[in-house]
Amino acid sequence: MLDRSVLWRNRNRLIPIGAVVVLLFALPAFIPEYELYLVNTILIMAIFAYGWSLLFSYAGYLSFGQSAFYALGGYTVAIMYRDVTGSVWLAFLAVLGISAVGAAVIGALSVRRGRIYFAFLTLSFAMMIYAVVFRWRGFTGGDDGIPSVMRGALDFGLFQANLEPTANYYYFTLVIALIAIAAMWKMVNSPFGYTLKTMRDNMERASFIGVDVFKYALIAFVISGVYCGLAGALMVSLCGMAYPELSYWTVSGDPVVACLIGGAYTFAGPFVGSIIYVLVRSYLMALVGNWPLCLGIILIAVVLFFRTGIMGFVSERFKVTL
Amino acid sequence: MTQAILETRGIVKDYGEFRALDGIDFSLPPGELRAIIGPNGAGKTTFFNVITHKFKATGGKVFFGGKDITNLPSHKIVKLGITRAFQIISLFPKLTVFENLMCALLTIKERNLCMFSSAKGYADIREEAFRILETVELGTQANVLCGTLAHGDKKKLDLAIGLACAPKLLLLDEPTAGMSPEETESTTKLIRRICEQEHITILFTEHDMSVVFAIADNITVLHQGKVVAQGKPEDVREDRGVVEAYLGEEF
Repeated sequence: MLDRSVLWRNRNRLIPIGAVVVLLFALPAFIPEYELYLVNTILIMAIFAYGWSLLFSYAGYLSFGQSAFYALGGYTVAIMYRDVTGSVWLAFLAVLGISAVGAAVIGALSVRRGRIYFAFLTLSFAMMIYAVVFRWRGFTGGDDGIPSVMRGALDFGLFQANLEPTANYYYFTLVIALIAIAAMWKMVNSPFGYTLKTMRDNMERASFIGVDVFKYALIAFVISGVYCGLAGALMVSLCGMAYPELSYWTVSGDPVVACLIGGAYTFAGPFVGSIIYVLVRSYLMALVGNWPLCLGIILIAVVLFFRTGIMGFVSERFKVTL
Repeated sequence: MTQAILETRGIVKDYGEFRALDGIDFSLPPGELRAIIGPNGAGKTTFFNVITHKFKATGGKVFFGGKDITNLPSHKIVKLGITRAFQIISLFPKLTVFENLMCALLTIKERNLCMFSSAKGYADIREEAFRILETVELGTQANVLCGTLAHGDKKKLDLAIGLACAPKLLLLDEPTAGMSPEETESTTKLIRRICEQEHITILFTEHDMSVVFAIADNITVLHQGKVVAQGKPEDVREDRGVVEAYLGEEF
């Protein structure tokens, strides 16, 4: 059914997306290092936010504990470089594997409970990981964390790409983020994505069309965990440090806030929200100092005036799917 | 006699002290359009809930085509071929009418784990979805968000989702509740047609007696969790037990 309107709609979407991608690739040429660092943080936040939103926006599960996997991924990369290997490939492979296993265990214990219990269980598991990381000094460095985590070099066989320079690491993150977001786009429009949407809309009815709801909730949880783990690993490599607060509950709040601001029920929402959240956080924090107060005011404004987030508002106002 | 498609033996369901179902022995031959009637609180919906394992029975067994399904989870029962439409409309409100059906079809065809194909790209599912939408006269509303449909149309969509699950046995809980007289009539005809043309056995509850007597092959009467009468519409109408169960109600 490729009639003209469908083509037009796709073109409408592809032009701005292409422009953003080109802009992102060109950025290192004309913005200073600190700003590039911020954009890098935005990309990482976006991966984190998409991971959370797969659970919330599509499967209908509100997790307050995705920092568990953020920390798991972060510490995995730090410990791999410290104790096991210098290979970026292997370290990130381990990140994917360990976040998936961690999410499978925590997910199996959490998704069968009611939704409120799910929120609190995930929160508790994240805080448990925080406590373990904090106490297990010999392995995790306790509250000192693991300092001087390298960014390493990507070995392509014929040549190596050194990731230490900020611009190179930025490209590394950018490619991963684009793949992750594109994969998420495919996923939420796939039969799997629609299966999750039935659960979000009406859990009971979903099981009466034959959906094994706990199975798909668990699969979504694992995928979400992998996204969050990946984000954590990228962040630790970016700032060169793993520390217990990665698993703190306020970190779990980051993707929640980013998605609320951007609009959790639009696909572009988590990305736009991440941009705004990271920029506002860095600049306001430097400017006014009282960051929590500002965040509070922003959140109240969003909830009162843009309940569906910025992209949700735009999408309703201009009747476009974003 | 052919084997019953659905059979229950001694189904008991307690809610705390209250016994909602009190030893129901029930048997339904394939191809039949059967009505379950009874006053409010007789246990009709509870009976459906136990058959489809929304609630676990306190005692007794449910057989589907001779297979014991008493302890199977709901989603497996659906895959075996029992689906239902709900008395209180139960849809996926943030999805369009078409997507509602599409999700049911994707699930029945076991495509839920396809993560990188487009859900709307399956020609067979599109075709099937539109065929069912035509059947229930919702073809023109395919792209409407189902949360915004009128009540009668929601009710029809609920039925359509049940149909999309390719059932052998369809349970309809008050399929015409809240409908206008015209909608009631068209839905009544539709149910009869589904039973005859699609060869789906249908078990339905209904308050509207004109609907019941118009289309049911046989009627089972529940009262206080027990089967008090069963038979052809004209026999049930004359039955003393039934008249007593409905005493004070117009019948």
